Amino acid sequence: MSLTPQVSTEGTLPSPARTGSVILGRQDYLSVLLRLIGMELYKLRHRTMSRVLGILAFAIALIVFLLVSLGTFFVLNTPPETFTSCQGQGSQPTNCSQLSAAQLAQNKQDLLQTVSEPLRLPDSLNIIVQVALPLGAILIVILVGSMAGGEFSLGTVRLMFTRGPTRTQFLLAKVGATLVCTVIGVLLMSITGILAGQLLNFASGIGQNFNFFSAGWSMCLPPCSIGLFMPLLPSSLALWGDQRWQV
Amino acid sequence: MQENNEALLQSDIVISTSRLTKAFGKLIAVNDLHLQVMRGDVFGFLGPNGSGKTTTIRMLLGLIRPTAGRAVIFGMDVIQHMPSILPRIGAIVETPVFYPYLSGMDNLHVVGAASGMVSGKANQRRIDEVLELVELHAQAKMAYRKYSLGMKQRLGIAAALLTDPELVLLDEPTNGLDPAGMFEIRQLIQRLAALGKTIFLSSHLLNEVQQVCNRVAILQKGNLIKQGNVSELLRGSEQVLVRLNTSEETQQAKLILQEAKERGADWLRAVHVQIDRQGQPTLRIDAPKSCSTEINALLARNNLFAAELHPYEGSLEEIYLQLTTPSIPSGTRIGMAALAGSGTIAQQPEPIPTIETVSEGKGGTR
Repeated sequence: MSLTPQVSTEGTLPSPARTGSVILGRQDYLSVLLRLIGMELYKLRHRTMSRVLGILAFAIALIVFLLVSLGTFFVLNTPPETFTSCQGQGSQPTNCSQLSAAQLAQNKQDLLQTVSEPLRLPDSLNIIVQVALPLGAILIVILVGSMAGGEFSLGTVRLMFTRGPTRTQFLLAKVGATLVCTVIGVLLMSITGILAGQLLNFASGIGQNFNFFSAGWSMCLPPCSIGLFMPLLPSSLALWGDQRWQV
Repeated sequence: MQENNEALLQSDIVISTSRLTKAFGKLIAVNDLHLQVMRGDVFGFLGPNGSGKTTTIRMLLGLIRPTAGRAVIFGMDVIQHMPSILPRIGAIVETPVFYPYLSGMDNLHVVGAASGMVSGKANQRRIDEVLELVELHAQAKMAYRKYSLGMKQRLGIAAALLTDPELVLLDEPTNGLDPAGMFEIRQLIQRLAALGKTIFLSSHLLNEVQQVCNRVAILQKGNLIKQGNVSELLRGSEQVLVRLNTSEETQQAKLILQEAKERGADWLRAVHVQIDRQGQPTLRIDAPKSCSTEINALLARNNLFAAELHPYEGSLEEIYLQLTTPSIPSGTRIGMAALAGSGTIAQQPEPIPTIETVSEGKGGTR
């Protein structure tokens, strides 16, 4: 009954075979990292907060375009007589009362065209980038904060750190999951904004013109395609993990 | 041949620590710890609250770095090879905590993915197996936040066993469990041990430890005060309680036994006299219970006939309390235990010193 047993010399003990029902995935750095990103997304998908933030992002995009469309509806519901366009030319103001009904209608249409421009592409994208996405960034900050901080406040970080992957891998997995969430959020808000703008634009009666679409815009296609792929990432990661490798 | 045996012994060491020390500022939580756990051991890790058990487990799992010394698991240094060691270990550290918004099954999916198991439904069979093992299958889809303390504890054990690890570290696994739950965990540990798993069990429940562990280590204030086989420890604490008809006979018997010890009866460690509830003196003889017949015969040869004779098997609890709480007199504990068994010997009115301090001479164990 010794209190000071000898410490074993180096020489790794062989690992006995595990039960057949345990199916391990690839254990290289990248595979572990991808699996952890999938795990983070799995957790996020099951969180009520993620759903609430998603709904908020959707609502923000919708509200921004509803606010933008207020001008259009105001112009639509204003009688043409109001659009006298009494802009002075130098020191000699024109006689507003002399404008014909056709000129007044044209004035109204011109103003409607201008006011409803943000509802149509490409200006709607500009509205999304300048107004909706900064608000969406706040939601992402909230999500990331709870994703990382929650692990420490709940104490689950201890559970994760005793399972094998390194702390760096866990951190990178959270960064990866954040990127995926950001892309999904941007896509959600952009698509919602564009669709909402188009729907609201019907009221103006001015059709969408795709003349703006030039060769330069085709540069946006690859990142957009990647973005569209992102919602499928969790299941793609699972497929990667299914390349079974018994160790 | 001896070298071969040593090599074989080395290859069977699963956990080995050498001068392992952890200090938090001026507080030394673990001091100079030498532990050795062999393959297939069910190793009980005992100690009062704050004795450094959880700190040791946290060092073994790489959650904190030792201030000095080293720990070796599966022949690999814990600090240098932690990523290779952890997939071979299943652990519960303190109260297990999971994601409250996920169900028990979803939590196991997450733990599985973090443990290197493939995602998706591929490991559903294994998850079902461990849930069945801890009898949580019926509540598998219930949110973790709705689990009772016992269910949380069982889910922790399920998570620890998920990857079918070789070494299972359990820190107070029966916390919050009812007696039936404790019994199930005890059976589970015995089943795992039968499968050849090495179990490192930190617990306060000494009765549980005594029933399932083959080896124990006892910590106090960060220092290792005892390490060894449970059976050896228990054998060293066996006693025989003898009540004679009169005080004179009792004193006479004591002298006879002490003489026998001096003449070379090395199985006789010490002889004490204590007073029972009826105010009658009783002989407490520190000797293996298998020597009861020998004691009876020795007394009978000297015309002393025992009115009562109780072979008494020590318990781990008694050894533990004796080592960690010397202020509690050992005679009190034995008196209470014997009372529970026979109803004749009562609690000692005056404290009796511990066995070590009363022992006359250094009679070796048998």
